[in-house]
Amino acid sequence: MSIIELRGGTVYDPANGVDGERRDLYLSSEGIVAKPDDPKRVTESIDVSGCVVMAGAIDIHTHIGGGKVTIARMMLPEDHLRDLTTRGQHPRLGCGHAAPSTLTTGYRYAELGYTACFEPAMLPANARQAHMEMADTPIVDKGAYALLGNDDFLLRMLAKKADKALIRDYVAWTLKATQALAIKVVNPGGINAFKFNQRKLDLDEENSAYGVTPREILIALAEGIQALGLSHPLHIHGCNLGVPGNAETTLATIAALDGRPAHLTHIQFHSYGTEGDKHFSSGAAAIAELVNAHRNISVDVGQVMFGQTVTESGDSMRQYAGSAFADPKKRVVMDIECDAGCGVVPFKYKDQNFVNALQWTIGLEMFLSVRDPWRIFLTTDHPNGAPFTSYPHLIKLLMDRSFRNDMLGTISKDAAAATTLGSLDREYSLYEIAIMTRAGPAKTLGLTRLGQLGIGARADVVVYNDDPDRERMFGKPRLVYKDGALVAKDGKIVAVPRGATHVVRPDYDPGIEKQLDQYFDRYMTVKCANLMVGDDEIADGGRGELVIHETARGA
Amino acid sequence: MPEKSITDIPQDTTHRDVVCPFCALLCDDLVVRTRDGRTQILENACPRSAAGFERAPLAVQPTVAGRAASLEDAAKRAAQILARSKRPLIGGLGTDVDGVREALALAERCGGIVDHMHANAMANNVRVLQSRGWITTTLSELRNRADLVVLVGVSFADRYQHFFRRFIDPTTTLDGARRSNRRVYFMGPQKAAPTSDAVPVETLNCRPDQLDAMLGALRATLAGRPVHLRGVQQKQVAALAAAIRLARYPVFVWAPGQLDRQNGDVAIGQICGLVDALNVDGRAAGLFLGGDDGGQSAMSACAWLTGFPLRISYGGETIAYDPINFRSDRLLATNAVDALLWISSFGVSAPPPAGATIPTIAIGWPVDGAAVHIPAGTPGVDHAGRLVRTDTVVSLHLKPVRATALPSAADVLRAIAAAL
Repeated sequence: MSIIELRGGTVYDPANGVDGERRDLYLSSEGIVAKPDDPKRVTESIDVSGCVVMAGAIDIHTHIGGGKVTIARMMLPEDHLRDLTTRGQHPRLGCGHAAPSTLTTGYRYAELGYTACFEPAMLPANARQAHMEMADTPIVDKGAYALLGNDDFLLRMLAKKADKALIRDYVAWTLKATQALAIKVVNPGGINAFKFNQRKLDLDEENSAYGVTPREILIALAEGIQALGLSHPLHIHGCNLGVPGNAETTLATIAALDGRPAHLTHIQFHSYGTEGDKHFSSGAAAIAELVNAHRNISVDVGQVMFGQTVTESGDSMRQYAGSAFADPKKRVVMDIECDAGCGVVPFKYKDQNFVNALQWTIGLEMFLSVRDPWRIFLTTDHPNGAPFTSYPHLIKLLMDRSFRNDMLGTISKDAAAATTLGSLDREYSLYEIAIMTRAGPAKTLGLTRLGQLGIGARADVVVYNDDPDRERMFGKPRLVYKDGALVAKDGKIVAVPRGATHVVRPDYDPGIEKQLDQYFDRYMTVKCANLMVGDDEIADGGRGELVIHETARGA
Repeated sequence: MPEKSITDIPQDTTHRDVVCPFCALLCDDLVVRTRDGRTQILENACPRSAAGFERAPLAVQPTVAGRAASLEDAAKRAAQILARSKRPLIGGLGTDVDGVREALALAERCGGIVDHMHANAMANNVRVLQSRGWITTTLSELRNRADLVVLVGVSFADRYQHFFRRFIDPTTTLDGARRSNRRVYFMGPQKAAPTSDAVPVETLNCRPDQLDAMLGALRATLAGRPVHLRGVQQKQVAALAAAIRLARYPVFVWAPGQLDRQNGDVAIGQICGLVDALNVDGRAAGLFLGGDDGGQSAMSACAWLTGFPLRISYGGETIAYDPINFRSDRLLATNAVDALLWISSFGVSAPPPAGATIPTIAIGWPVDGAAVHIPAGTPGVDHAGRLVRTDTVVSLHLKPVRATALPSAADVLRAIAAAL
């Protein structure tokens, strides 16, 4: 086993309480190891003194694989033409920007020091394709959250007031069948309601077909997940995404959860008030205050950045409504397999547009107002708020107040006048950045060996030049290691491992399988057995690695 | 070359929940028996699947210049042809996701152009997707939610033969009322109208090249604008419009490969425009049937791996996307390519376009006059594989139903790449 020594770096490892201490690190394919007794075992020693050393970054919410991502790819050749990669730039050709190819996605994430990415909206009906796409996303580890809460099976169970144990078993079965790490709900009940021509669904509004409310769905899933002892709580994309006034829905959702653990994703898109002449305002302050007061709640932001992107979501109801703003003018909306739906709408965020500029400020207000960095994670909801390649710029906005205020001076005057952003003095420290991009996501996802640099952790390590321009610093790390092997050097990919797939597999009563077999035979167009993604498919003849994480309810 | 191990399938085995790879519906309820080397579908066969499963496996023997050669020598000769070629065409692409992955990797190494045998048909769809987008649905939604189905020129004569059994007239649906009220319309030539014992099909008789005009008239009628058609057609369109107005989830089905070649995208655009209009106040959706012979798998996998659906070229410094100029028939007719690697692992019905006089490598089924032929198995019959269904959402893992020594197309492509 070869060991690489990284000598004298300034280490930020919040999971182990290390805040900018000078430390030596020893990397091997087996993980981070202690300093070997025999110095000859060190095969390479690299002086990284003066450099910042962190664990590989983790993106907790990024749309990297699955049908809607590939629809966006197919639909947007004009976007790819802006960012075609050239021979020699990467190990294989591809394209970047808003809907990058899987290959380029993996390379670009690794170039930025990211070594794990999680697809947050895997439809069970589309799970196999999502995994095939993730398998073709090189270098980074991956995993996915299975979508529940709009499937007719669950809604029928809730309508019949099914036993909680049955719902818990169904959740566990879904995790296994789709090779998922967590459960996500998108516009609970709303995607299904859209199939019955409902155009909005508030927290306590009944789905017309089943008489079930979003509140009931949220609680049933949150409790099922809690009973299974999953590390990551229910990952919630709430009702009314993008609707002015939806901050009230978000506050009510936190209250409805009543102390149950939950993660509210891309909260920026759910933090809108209706004040002012344009009836669009920031609801960030009140939501941040409630998040601060509720330790059961974590959030990621879904920061908006200006420019062309594409929005990809399971929320067919809201994406249909949003298609009026499509730029360029095209969009796909799908009803999918009595399971969920999707909507793909290209979008251009403009800094002189009042609403877009205010969205930008709302995201930043949220970052700066939620006090505990362990409960707020850095995302743009790639590519919905912006492509992930904007992360270095976003980090600079968070770490550099004068830069932030300069940028604030360039956006829509009306939006700048309407925000409290200029009065928020907070600047994130490197330690806090390491929490929100490493230790925090690893902790909530239960990835015990990721996001940290302790002995036994996987040797995913990033070495940055300590450049005062944090955008430059985070944009091109000096060295990136994946499982102890150098994968990127000064922004150039040098090796292409496949990356592991992370899943959980809590036990369940197999009785649910019989019910599902019957249900699939009676109503679906695939057999239940054929929907299930096998371990052999992830292993793929030894090319893939499956990591099964323990849960309180066994594995 | 990884030696293909003969899968451990006993001499007499019955397989349940078998997925059929022979059209893009990917029916997965077949019961298949293999006994004494003979494979037969016991339940849920259609003529197409029966022909596919019951066809004897290809002889394993590769050939070079018509003479028997080892797999290794055949792969070496193929690599030589590709290495000498300035611009090879990787065509046919009748394979599964793994085969597409390897075909793209090989094309990238030798600067090739990549096309699928059904890309013309699929390009009709892609033009509409890229210019306006659409609102579509999937097969399970069709089965359970549709109360009206309009088949726009779709023929079930030689594929999609279980469409009625599985989706239009299933014994059970989530909403029994919608099923029992379900009405089915066919727009197209009377003689091509599908028939069903269980569901009456009302036909709006028109020539294939009139479909877009009929659809236009239907849109106009629904929008309350004046329409001028022949008396019968006008009456039929008005009746269909009335039925659509009453429907809660009408689904409009088309098959891009069965539409008029010149105007296929116009008709699809009309359908999508009609569906858009219906969604302003109610719900409606489109659904297309296409992407057979691994076509949908090729489109999807190519899109995720490169960003682009077919057709693409690796001939330059970047990937080039050009669905018009990279057509196989055009490239071959104009001698724009100097070598052809043709992949066809689903059956004999897919030869390359005529006029291929350039050095040709055939993988799977043989091609007349090929310099190299390396037989490969059929996914889901001879080896495992994964295919994407017509609705672009569901993909299935197919397992072998008989033991052969045939490699997969992906295996062969890897062997050629290794010899490059």
